[in-house]
Amino acid sequence: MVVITRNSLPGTRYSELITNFIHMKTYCLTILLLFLFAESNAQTSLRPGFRAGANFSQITGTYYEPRTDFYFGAFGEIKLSSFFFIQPEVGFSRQGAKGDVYLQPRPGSGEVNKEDLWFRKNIESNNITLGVTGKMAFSPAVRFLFGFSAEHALEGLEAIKPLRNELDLALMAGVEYKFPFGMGVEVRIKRGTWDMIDSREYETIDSRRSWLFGDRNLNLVLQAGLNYSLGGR
Amino acid sequence: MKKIFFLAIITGLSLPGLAQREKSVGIRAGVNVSRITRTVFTARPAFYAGLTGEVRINKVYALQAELGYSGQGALGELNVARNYKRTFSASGIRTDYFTMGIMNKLSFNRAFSLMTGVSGEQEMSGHPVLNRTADIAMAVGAEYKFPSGLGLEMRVKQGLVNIFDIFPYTTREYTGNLLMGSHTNLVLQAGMVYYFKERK
Repeated sequence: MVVITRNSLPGTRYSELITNFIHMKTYCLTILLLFLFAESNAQTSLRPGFRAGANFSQITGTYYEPRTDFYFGAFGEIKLSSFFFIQPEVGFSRQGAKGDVYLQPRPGSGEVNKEDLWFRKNIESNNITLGVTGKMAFSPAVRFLFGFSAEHALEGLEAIKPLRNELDLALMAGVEYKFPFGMGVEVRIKRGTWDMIDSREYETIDSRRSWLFGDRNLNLVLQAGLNYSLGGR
Repeated sequence: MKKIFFLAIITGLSLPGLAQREKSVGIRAGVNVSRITRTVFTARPAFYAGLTGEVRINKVYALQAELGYSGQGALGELNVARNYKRTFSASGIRTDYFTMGIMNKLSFNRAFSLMTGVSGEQEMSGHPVLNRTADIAMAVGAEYKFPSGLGLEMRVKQGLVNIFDIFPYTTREYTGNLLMGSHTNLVLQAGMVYYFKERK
């Protein structure tokens, strides 16, 4: 067996080895894919539907309270097999948080009165959401949901002020119970991935930052509601 | 990045292929005893509840997806001062986690199986003393299932993310490692599972 280290080979040879390896892998995976498709090319169907319910939204890493609001939307459920569905979604979602927003005191300004830093009450944003949800049906009624969505605030940046992005990308996981006549009950948890509040400008819980697990100020929404798909489940 | 993207696509596309496998849905609930490692706090009792979906690959091996709630945290007197003279005093840290995980299940016979897996967790209460609201946890456990579908289970779950960092409450053992040596969730779960009748 030959051990290849980064130092023992010129850079070009090393990268060649890697690309060859990736190509080989791609071949294997493509073949694997073909088999998987052959197994599962049952009848696919699309069922349109509607969903609506309550949002319990908060912003992580802040002192704000959760806020109760609503969401609604439409979807098309594409049944790839009896186990796996893909569901593109479009919707409207009101999010934000409850509580007083304070500005961060300027460094070196000494003792500051808390009231002078008070900025506004409540954070709210009306979002248009565009998403894709994957559904795993462990039984005809119970489906596990996971997916992602892009969200855009309808107001300008000025109106949603402590929030610093109009756009957000969110990851979602949840569960759905679907009755045979097409009505479903669902609970989802949606977590944004982009920092929404500038901690140097507004008061947040100060902590270390990292991309996924840092205490960044992300949208975090618990959605609970009903849905109805036309044509049964 | 490309590799991750590719992997995600592969996973997504291979999911319909699981349609032919034997599947079952279960409900699990029970008692949590949780603590935060390497802190002065003591264990906190709480509860957990969730849904589990099992895909049986063969007689020995099954994959199990899980979603649920898990109450965690620790007990102990806590006084923390923050900016604007914000102070918190509590008799413990109560955290509510939403968990989603995948467990690998090795069944030795129809009743007994061992399992191990990973879960992603999201803290929902927004407790101000927590460092981070997301967590990744590893779990090891065992399950004993009766023919009726009812089962008993026990698990140990260890978080991998440093979730608490307030100095006077941490012990000197802190090493700052990701895997071992930081202030992570550690939970003992004991409870019941009920698997609904498997469909044809």
